[in-house]
Amino acid sequence: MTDGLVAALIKSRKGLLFEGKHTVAIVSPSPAAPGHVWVLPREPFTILENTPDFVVAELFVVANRVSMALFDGLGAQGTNVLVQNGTGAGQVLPHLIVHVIPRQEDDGLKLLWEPKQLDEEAMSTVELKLKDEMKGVGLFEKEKPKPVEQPKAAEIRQDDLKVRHLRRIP
Amino acid sequence: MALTEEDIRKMSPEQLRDLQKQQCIFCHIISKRVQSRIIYEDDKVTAVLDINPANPGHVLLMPKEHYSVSPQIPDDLMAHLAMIAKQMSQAMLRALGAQGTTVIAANGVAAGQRASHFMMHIIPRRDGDKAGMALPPGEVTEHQVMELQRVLAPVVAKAFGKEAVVVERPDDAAKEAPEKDGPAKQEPQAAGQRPAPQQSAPAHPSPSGVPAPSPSPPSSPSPAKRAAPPDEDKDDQDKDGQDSDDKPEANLDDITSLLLGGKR
Repeated sequence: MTDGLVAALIKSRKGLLFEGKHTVAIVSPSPAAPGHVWVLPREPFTILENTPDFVVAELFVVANRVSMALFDGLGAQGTNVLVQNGTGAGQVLPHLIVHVIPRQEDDGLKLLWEPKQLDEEAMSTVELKLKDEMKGVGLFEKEKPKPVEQPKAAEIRQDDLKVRHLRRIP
Repeated sequence: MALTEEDIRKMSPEQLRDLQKQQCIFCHIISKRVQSRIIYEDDKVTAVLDINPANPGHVLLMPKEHYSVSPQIPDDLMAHLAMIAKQMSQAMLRALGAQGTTVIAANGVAAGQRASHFMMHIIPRRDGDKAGMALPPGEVTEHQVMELQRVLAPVVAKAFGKEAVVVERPDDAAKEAPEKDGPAKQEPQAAGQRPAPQQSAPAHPSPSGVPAPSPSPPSSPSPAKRAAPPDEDKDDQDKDGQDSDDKPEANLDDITSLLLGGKR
């Protein structure tokens, strides 16, 4: 039910601020503060993990420019760039959103966390697990070039018939 | 060895930058003069575990080069940071069984920035972990959206080094919003000693540096954008743009109510 909402919003061009090749920036329809901007992929990728690397790259580069614009155009004293990646992180809509939120001192927004203390062993365990998982990182997905047009199957078959026909000639 | 105000005032930008690096604990962590738990590094970035994590596995991802805030960071480095952040998030889901990840960066003290070295926080999350960073749902009228669009679109275009191509209704051109005064413009304040030494010009690297496919210019059929929903002419006046009788495909209200109805 909610799948088409964001796509429809993008299509409506409401609050459209910028159009990139794979991304768009729009005024948030549910702002945490005035000037809250959404940077989204045009395609309905749901989370970072199933968004191609080159789209993720564009998302953050665009978000960075939007940050600059919020400083310049709205006199923001700060900006937060935030991704709620997955339900555990508070994601509500099934469409990846990079939030760019303008901040002012004492604006009442609380985008902080309670720092915790972990013991050495717990830290070491986590360190090893993550380090291990990050070992393979290196090559990033690039945009694929458009494939060359292949002749249609029907056409090939017709040619075959012609050849076979020729062969029958005594 | 204490530096006086006088000494600092006399320093050149380069000297100031060096001073900032000397005093930056994260630069020391990156250069390994200070010990830390490094999860990943390459020639451009370093990722370490936060010693006071929001959740176990909380990672700080930083450019090796000292930048105070992300507007100073060139596009190719920003792209690299983003792609590594994605990998890091994926690693958390796989290796730590996280049910989600929060990726957050703060530019400026007002945004909660506490270190003078730019970093992206990548935090493993679990349903109901109460680690915070929930976005309060807000309301905005269609009229307000259009106003923000009118003000911001040109600035965003300029940030990409392009001329603003947002075409407005003829009456809007007459009542241009007053330009923001110079003093009203706030410079990003980094936590710690001094405001970021690098300003304006270097902060807007040219789009040609972007390795990812460069963003296309704002769509040329801007008049078409205005033509599409003809009913927009209705909220020409100062009244709210809440046209209940015309329902264009995407109703802002649907998304707003969906978000307001969410329990987070």
